[in-house]
Amino acid sequence: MKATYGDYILKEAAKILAVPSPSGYTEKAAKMIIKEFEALGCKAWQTVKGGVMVDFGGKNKKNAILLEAHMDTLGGMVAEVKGNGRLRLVPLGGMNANNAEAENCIVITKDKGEYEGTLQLCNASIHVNGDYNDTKRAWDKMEVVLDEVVKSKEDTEKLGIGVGDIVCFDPRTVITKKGYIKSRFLDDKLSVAILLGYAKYLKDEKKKPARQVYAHITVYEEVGHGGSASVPENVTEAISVDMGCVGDGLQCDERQVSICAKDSGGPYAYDVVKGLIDAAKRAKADYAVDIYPYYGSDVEATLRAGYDIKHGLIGAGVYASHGYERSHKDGALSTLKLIAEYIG
Amino acid sequence: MKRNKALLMLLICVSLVLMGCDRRLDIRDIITDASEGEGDNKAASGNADKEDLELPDITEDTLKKQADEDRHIMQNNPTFEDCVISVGSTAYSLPFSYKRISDEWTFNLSDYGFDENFMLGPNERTTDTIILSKENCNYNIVIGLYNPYDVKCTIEEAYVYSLTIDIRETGADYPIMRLPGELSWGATFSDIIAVAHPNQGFDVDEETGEMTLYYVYDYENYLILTVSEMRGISAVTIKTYKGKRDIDKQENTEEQGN
Repeated sequence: MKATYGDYILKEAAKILAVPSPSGYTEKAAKMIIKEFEALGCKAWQTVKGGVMVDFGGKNKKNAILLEAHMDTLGGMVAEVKGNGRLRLVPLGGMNANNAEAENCIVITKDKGEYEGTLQLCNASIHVNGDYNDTKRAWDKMEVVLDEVVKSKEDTEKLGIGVGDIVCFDPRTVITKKGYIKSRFLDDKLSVAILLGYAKYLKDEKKKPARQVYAHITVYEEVGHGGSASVPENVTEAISVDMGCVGDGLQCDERQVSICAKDSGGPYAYDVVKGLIDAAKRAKADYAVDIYPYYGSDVEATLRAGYDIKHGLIGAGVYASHGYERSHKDGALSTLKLIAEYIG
Repeated sequence: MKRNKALLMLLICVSLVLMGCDRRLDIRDIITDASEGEGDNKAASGNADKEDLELPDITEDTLKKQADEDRHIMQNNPTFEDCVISVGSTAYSLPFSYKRISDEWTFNLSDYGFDENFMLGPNERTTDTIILSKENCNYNIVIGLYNPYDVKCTIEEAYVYSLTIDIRETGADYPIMRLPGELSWGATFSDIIAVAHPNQGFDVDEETGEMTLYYVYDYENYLILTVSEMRGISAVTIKTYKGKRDIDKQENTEEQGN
């Protein structure tokens, strides 16, 4: 497989990352992703819930495989328009106040457009706030400072901002000369790009997969129920393509594909994990097998919804998960190689 | 513009004379922070429909209803999520009217850079760092104040949305305190997690060995407990970002239904 697919995947990831899509606000991203897959010759359609189903085709229709990646990301929602005109937020998904401080963001109003702001600690000037260093970063201690002249709740509400408005954080995507991609929300937009890479690979090589392949680009994964619906009837196996964990005690790094043996939801199907390891060896994909201590996936939501399938999880290694994340084109390429070899 | 201002002031003076100068409510209805002359500001126009604006209520009757409701909550197996605490023999469900404690627990506005006429703006929330002291008492309590109303309110009319009691340096002088699950000062880490595990984790101070346990419910209700091996629970912070007390909302709904 050509190494240039790694560069292609990073470019596609950057395009998708530029379209904000916190859980609950994914329509624009869904429409964009449908167009991207259709341009590569796949059938793609939107589910009722707002996710995107993709049909890659394939020979064996009775033993179809479903690849699950998610387009929704972490974000925030306005919980209170404060008396000083600033906004108290609650997180969408596992957005963490500890690493969201000083991030630029955009507040999406229901019908009065968008406004820019920054999430700051309340009383954020260190020259003024003697407790700056000691204050625990929690969502009730942070506020969005709008880039507007607002000094009261009334001022802000006149802009059309209110409780329930979605807040999208700037992904700050950077692709370095050495092939690293640094960005918020590589979880899991990098995997969406990897699946686009798979579609491109099939198109370039004029290849029909050995078995029917679907992808479900889910929404609401970050809040737990992304993969809980929309499994085609002929699917017998589902593989989550989601960020691979990188951290202390784990083997994987950003330049590898991670094969998960177990996460918080329990072990993955033994023969699926073994099959993925064998495929990685055959494909000469640089891989590591790991256990993720604090992790859940779309495919677990699928199982808990009652679908009778085998399940597995792979993904490019991503460091600093749910923060300013980092991966590498080699990890993305190894993930693509593994998918292509495993499916056949 | 000047003529309108003069007419407005005359209207205020006449109102004061007719209704009595102690009705500060009338001034507040007419004058707000809003820019003068903005026609769409109901409160500034003097033509505000006063029934549309929620106004502070710290009458004895209302405060008694609050106290009764809070006692009822405390007596009926509350959980940490109910945001209720007993101090002494009185139960407080947050948010509660500062008036319920302001006769005993006070602070100086001047310490925070404000004069005695300071009022909280509509929906304004202070930080949760206001230190209250009481005569003949060696410990302080720390609160945050919130104005849930559509008009300015005085400090006395505000609600307490955050309450912290820290007895780590008070010696033997500290109040009786009770939390849901019959927890009190001295309760151990095991006692606490038998009631509920901290759903937002905990920190450990490496120097003192103290643990701080975080309970967060819908990012709206918070309980933070500081526990040490020697002393058990020695500091508690309880707070809510609920806009109003549920009982107030319930009463308003009932009124609308009639």
